[in-house]
Amino acid sequence: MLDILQQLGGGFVSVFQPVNLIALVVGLVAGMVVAVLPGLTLVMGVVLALPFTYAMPIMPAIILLTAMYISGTYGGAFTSILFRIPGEPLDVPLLWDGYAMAHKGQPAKALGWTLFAALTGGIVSTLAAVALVHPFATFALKFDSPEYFTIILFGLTSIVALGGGSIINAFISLFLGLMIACVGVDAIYGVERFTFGVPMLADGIEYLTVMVGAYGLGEVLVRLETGFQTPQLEAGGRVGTEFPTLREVWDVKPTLARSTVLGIIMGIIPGAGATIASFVSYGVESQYCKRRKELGSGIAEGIVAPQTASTATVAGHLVPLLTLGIPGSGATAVILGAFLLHGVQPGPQLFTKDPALVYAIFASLLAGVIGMCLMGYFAIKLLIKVLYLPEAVTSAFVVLFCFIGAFSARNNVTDLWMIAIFGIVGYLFEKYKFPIAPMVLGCILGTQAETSFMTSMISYQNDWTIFFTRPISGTVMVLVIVALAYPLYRHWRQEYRRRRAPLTTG
Amino acid sequence: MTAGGTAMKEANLIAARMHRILPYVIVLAIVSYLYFLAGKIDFVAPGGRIGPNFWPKVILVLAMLTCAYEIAKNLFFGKAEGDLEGVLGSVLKEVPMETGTDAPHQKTYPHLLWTGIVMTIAYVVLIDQLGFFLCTLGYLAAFMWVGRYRRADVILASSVIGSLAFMFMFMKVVYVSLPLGVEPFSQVSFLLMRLMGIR
Repeated sequence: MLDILQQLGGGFVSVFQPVNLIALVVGLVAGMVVAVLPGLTLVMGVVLALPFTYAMPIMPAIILLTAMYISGTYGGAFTSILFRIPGEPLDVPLLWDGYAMAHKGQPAKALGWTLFAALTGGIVSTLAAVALVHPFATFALKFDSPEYFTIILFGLTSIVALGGGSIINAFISLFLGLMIACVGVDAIYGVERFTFGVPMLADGIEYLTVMVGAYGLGEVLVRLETGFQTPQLEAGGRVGTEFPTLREVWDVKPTLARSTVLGIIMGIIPGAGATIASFVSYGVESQYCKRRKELGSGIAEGIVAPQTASTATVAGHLVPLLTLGIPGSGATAVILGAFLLHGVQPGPQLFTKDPALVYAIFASLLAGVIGMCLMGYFAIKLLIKVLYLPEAVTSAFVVLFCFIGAFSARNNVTDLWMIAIFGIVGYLFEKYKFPIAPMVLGCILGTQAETSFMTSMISYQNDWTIFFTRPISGTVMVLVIVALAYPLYRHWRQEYRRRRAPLTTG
Repeated sequence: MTAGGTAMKEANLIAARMHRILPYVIVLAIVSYLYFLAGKIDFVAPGGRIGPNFWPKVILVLAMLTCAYEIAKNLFFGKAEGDLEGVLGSVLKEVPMETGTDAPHQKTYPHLLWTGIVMTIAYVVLIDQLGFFLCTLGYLAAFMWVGRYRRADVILASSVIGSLAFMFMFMKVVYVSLPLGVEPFSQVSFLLMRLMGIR
């Protein structure tokens, strides 16, 4: 324990080095701006920031992206509460009680609750993650290829099972992502696959181009089709933040505890991100909160639950990313990309090779949570001014960022073609309601999944039962089956109820 | 209802089902072709080991089965059989509040989309010829105009400043070699590089 605290202290010393501190502040501001702007999603913002990190050392690069990620979970709350415009999907539950409280004439109070929830969720979850990573990493050292394969499989199936739309579409998206990862020279046999005689494809398709194209350009095309209809904002009154009293905080402590724990768990489970945590925690409050009947009318619990949970997921997401190298969300996939671009593979070995980096990331997260709350308190008026930027102008620059970002990776115009192609694919995915995240994660984890599968098959003479008979991989396979069976069960139950309803009422 | 009316209704129903299955049919066609290609991958696997085509074939078979399921479901049951949704979808249904997705149906402008796509492809085609600065300047200005923004002074200023800033940042700070273009357009790039002190 003392050792961990010592490492964390060392992490703080690193964070307060000038370069790292600048990266932290820039990341926090950029994350907030991205979250406030309706045309930009948090993942898109982190993707667009990635090219700026190429020339940086790894520590400020990861600090910048992580700071963007955490402040992005908070910044969108302002527009939800003040203007009823959710900056991110995760901010939608804040419309219900946050906007209602503001509408009752208490916008400063609503903003105060959001700040308090983000601060508590962020700090408690980061401390919990610091306590969890070491045991996780020690445990992960026991993993062999079957365990790695099953864990990746669990990550991929859970992102499908926990999503918001059709599971079938999510599976198709995932399979396409896994196929994109198959393009190029195979890692085991060195054989070319699906290259269609194009030399550039022998190196494979850069997942950066898939991410940037589908998330960045695709989203801009979707909004261009709607003619960039930025909502007209009402002239706002005085914007300020009013902190809750100690007595009020004491009253919401069960909500705070439930949402923080939920957020951390949802963060650790790959696929269950901030949006799901935000909705689920609100759902949990509608079942267990003392004032559940008043939810939606502008009560503190309805603000605290989604905000605490969504901020708490960030530290939770870092646990599987740093200990296993498995990203659980779009934003952590980009952070993994930044690690790999700097030649560092996250995983249990990272804790022996470069523990200073790991603890500097957590220290930056703690400093970032405090920093974003200070910014939220002092710079809110300035931040919401970005809402008045014309969407056509910001979108034009987003596309430019996409192109330069992809071009900078390999200095090759073919990657610009890839951006254009995946931009159109991203648009079609949005239009036909196919989620993009499974494709991106499939694309990133595909090679790792295939290599660990093939290595397992070669090591155990093509015996596929090995994934079920080893204790850890067998347990994870049970989780995979549960992750797949649970939505099927829910669907079957809903259909059963739907079909029975006319019989019982009629 | 008249026989003509019934026939029209049936035709509409079939058209709606066809529209719904279209993406799955396209994906099915693509993955089937890729499966055919996977069968042609040439390799030598020692001692009964599975080859480099095994993994893609497994994924492609799963993709084909998923598409076939969705096509069959839509053809035989239409919308009667609800979508198999992820957990968040079910949670949203059960949260007893408005979901924030009750915004009125937005008007769409397909011609803007097509213009945007054509412009984006043109940018990729022309960047090697015109060079980064000129191509980006034109693209930014055109994109803002197509995006229905009409303040010419803002468009011009932000396009020029944006293109110059990006050129400076990436060529001078991040050391990315951006396309310079061919003669005579490259002269503009060289001039700007001299002015910015980029070697």
